[in-house]
Amino acid sequence: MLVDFPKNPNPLLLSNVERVCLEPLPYAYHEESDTVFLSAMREIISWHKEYSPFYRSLLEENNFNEGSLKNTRDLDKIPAIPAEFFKRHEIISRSQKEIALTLTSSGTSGQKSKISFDEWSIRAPQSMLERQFELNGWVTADTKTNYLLYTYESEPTTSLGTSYTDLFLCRFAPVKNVEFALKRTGKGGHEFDCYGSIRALQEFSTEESPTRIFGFPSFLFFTLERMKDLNIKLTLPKGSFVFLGGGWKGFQGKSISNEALTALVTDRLGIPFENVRDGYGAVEHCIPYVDCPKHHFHVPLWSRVLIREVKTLRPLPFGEAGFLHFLSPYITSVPAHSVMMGDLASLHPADECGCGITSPFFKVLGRAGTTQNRSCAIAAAELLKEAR
Amino acid sequence: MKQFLWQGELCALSLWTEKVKEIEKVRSHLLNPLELDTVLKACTSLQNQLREGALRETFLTTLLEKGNLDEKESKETIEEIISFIDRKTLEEKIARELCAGDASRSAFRLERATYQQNIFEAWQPLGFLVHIAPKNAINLPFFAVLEGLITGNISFLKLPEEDFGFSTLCLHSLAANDETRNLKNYLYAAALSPKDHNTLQAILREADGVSVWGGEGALEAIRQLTPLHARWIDWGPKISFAYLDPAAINEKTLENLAREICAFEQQSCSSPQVIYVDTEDWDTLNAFAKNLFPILKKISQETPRLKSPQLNEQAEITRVDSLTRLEKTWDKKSTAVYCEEDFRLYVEKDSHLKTSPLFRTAWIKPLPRKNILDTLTPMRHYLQTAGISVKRENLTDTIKLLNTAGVNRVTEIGTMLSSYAGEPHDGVYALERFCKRVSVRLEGSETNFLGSLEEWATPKESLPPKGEVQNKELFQTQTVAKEFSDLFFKSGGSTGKPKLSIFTYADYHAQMRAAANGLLAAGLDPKTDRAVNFFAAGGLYGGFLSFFTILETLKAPQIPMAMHPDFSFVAESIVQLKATALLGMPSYLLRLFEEEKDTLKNYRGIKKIFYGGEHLNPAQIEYLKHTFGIEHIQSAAYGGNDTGPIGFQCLHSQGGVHHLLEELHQMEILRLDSDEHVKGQEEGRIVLTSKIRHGQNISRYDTEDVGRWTLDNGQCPCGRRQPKFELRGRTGDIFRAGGFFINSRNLTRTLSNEGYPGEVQFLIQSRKHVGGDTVLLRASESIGWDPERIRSLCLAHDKTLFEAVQENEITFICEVVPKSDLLRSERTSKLKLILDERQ
Repeated sequence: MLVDFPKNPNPLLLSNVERVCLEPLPYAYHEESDTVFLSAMREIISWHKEYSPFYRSLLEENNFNEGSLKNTRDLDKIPAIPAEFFKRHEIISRSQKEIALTLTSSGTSGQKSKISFDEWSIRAPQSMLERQFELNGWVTADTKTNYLLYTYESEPTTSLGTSYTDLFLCRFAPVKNVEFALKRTGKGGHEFDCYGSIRALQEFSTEESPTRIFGFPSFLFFTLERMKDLNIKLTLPKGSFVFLGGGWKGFQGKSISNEALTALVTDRLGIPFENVRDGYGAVEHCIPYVDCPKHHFHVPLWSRVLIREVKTLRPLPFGEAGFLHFLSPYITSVPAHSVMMGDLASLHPADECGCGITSPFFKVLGRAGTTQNRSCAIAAAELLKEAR
Repeated sequence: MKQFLWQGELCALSLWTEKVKEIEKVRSHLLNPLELDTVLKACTSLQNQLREGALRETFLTTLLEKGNLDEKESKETIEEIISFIDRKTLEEKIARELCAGDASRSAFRLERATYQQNIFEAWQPLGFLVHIAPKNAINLPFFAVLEGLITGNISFLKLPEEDFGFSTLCLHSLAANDETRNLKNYLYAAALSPKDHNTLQAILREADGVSVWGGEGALEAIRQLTPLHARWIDWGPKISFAYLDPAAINEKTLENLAREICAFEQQSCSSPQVIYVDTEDWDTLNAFAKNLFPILKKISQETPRLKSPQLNEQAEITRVDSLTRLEKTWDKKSTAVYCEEDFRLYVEKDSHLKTSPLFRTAWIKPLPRKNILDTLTPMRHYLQTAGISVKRENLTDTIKLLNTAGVNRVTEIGTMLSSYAGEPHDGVYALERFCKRVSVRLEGSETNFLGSLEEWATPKESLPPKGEVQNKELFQTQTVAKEFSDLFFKSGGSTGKPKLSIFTYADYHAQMRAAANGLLAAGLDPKTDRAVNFFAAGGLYGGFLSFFTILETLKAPQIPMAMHPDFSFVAESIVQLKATALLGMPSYLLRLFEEEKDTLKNYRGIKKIFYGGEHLNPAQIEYLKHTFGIEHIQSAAYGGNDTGPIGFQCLHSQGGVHHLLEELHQMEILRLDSDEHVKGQEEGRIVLTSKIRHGQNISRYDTEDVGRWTLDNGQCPCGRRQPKFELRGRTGDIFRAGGFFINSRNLTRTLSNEGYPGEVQFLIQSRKHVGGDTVLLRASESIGWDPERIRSLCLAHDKTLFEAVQENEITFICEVVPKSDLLRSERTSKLKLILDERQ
């Protein structure tokens, strides 16, 4: 185990939380999975009810009591907090001295969200990620590896969530070389270094050590496009893979489908289809979702996913589009155990995938709402908020 | 996209790749400028086709079947087009946007900017204009292109990928209604994928202007493809709000506000998204929301849903609703929620302007007047309309505060969504943004008497006027709509009830502006002259008023006298006010000089005379010049009561010779005995078609004047390229004898030029036995001229008469009789010039 084993903040009150979060195999559902998960949710709800006055009044207003969680069908009764709400207010269920880390979301739409974590709430998702990597055979302690990171080169005192994650990702295989695609300008900003990225890829392709490419899809796409224009075609060593996440970062207008990007990676870097992978996660919901070799985000044992109708918020059956609602008991520092994401998604039964994982998977369909894509007045909203 | 529009023609998609390669050649059509009149005529013709008939059906079917509109919406869409393309509306729009409201100005002609300096200015189309159309408005793309066309721009319309072809249909139909076939060269449209950057970039490379509608992201993407030489014309996202003082509103205001919130599901940029209340007090704010709630509930029930929110729009509503409800949980003293299923009011304690998820959703926020500037200024890029309701004593100050903060449109609550023709959009006039203002400065003295540089331009070919020749009677029986009836002048008609010639103010001023340039050409110098206006005033006469306006247009100093009967007062005034130029009718002016001979002889300050309405013969001109030291005598204008001014004299035009005021009229000279055009310099009837007149139609109007084109046509030494013609009399002056047209006016002019001061009369009789006619010229005995002298003068000066006598078709006899033997009209006692005694 590379990640320190997380220490339960209160083993008496949160025993089931610990059990859920430390499930070793992400998708190995068993007879007790649901019961333990329900108990864990009850524990975490009582926890936040106790320590967060805001959460307490939210439950009161919704007439909700964790005692009413009898089976998994009751999960939809847990009030959901929109992820965006955490960007507006700092809601903490622990004392300041127990806070180990405050992460700022990189904010696709210009806002920065600050979320605080205690030791447990950081370590639990980190160890989950390690288990995801392990499942994919990506924990290779004895293979020196080159890294190209499509993420912000760290400032000495960075607190940006994505950089933290990507550096963290480098610990599963020993580092030979690390190249950042988004280099520091020295004035607090970052600049995309296309030719540096190409040069690094050219060098990495001549080595025996495999290469790992992590980070934002947009800048990888720009690199590959440039390589195509310059007629550069490489074959990265066997064992190389791409693991992307974090969205298109303000380049939605230029975004291409995952399929197209994967094809481009295969074409320009010689990395096979099944080794071009995607991750989904958020500062407001840290459970690591890693797509399967068939590129689907299956629901791990550590969380549950509901899709809610956009008008009534009622839970939707498989295949229908609605708000993406995550539930997971993993977090003790902030009442973010039931979070409504800003994305639209749909949920699908496992057999629609066929990769062998038995849990359902979700497809992210794009941002929920019109703030991002309305042609008229609405689009101004983001800038307006910034002016606050 | 199934089809695209290229040079006004619908083309199959398979041709696109080939056609778009020709984009570099499109600008060359600018060499054949698109005339405003061409566009307006096509609009009128299209307008008629849309009122009823096959094209209307095609439009309706397209909207119903491809656009998924219902029948009511489809009809409304067509009605909107019919009213937008109305000629008068478009002309008013141009006048307001490009002529500072002066409808008489010609926006696109290189006209004088001032008569005090030789400066000329005009609006010039940018050239090739690319329009990037929005997705959310059906008619907007067509209207935007039309605005480009009326400003003379070649237009490429980029439509959204999912376009259903309605805009293309509109443009194609417009081109099909153009008789000149030039409009089509100015029209291109295609639906393109926003990701097809290469094609878009190739098109934009040719652009002189890019007019972009859309969200911030779309705008930014286009901006990056836009070359520096293209003007950036952006119509980005805007936000509107209501601003009200709770002490200045009543139930009616709240109802109007509720209607604004429900109208069009707030899809318009001018729909209120925030309601600002002039208060700092949370309870006042909440009380306002509580008052509005039941009224909004009632109005919302009454207002049918225009459309239901799409998935993402509904997600936005729910997202905002969930967040706002949580905010209320967080702090009940800073957020309140008043919702029903079909509308939402959210009260927030802070003042920040923010967007609403629409579909009957509004934020209610406090904004004390003193904070308007600080709160709104950071948002100035996005501000559009403020609907206001405040106390009268605060009204103007509040409006000014809002304007300073960046709001460019203020209305009452209740009219936020409706606009008026020619209203500025987002703080600017669209048409101005599609044009550039060009200036020319030619300080050389040769332009001193030039009103417009267009007078030196190569004449443009125009289509010959169509239709029947119109006589005076036909003209006078027209009924004129009230909207075109501003000014009433007498249209001749000496018998019975006066007939009227009716003008709009705009037409009157356009005519006076042209005539002012004519007077300038004739030698009036507004910088040095001081003019006395002696034309007749009142009693439906247009003379005095017209010249008042002409002199005012020229900014020439003016002494308004009209036909004042007190000659000594008039003469004293001329001397005292140091007048240098007289404008009037010859009969009045001659009498003035006669009555006040001594005063005016001594004064010798009058240097110029500009006459109108009658003729001055060379003897009279010589007399005036010699006796009173007048240096310059010229016709002030040639015109008519019905037609307005027609021609003017330049310094190289004498007698009846004039240039045509070509910006006002198209002139034909038709044969005396048929409606054929004359050949060469043959005399004929002057027939006019007005280019500008509204209401009372001047279409192939027979002026009853006789004229001929002159030799130096197009090559006048003054440099003007307007056609030149010579007036030769009235059609009533012409009689046919022995198969020849004899112009009696030519004979009287000859005699008068030779110094014969009296009257003559013509008698025409059939010759017995031999065929042909006898023409008997009777002169007044008392003058004492020898009839033989008269006869030989006439034969020497009138080629036609000489020829007819030579060929023995006419017997020409002259005799002198007592003055009393000359026959006169019983009613007016005017001399009858021609007596036809043939059976």
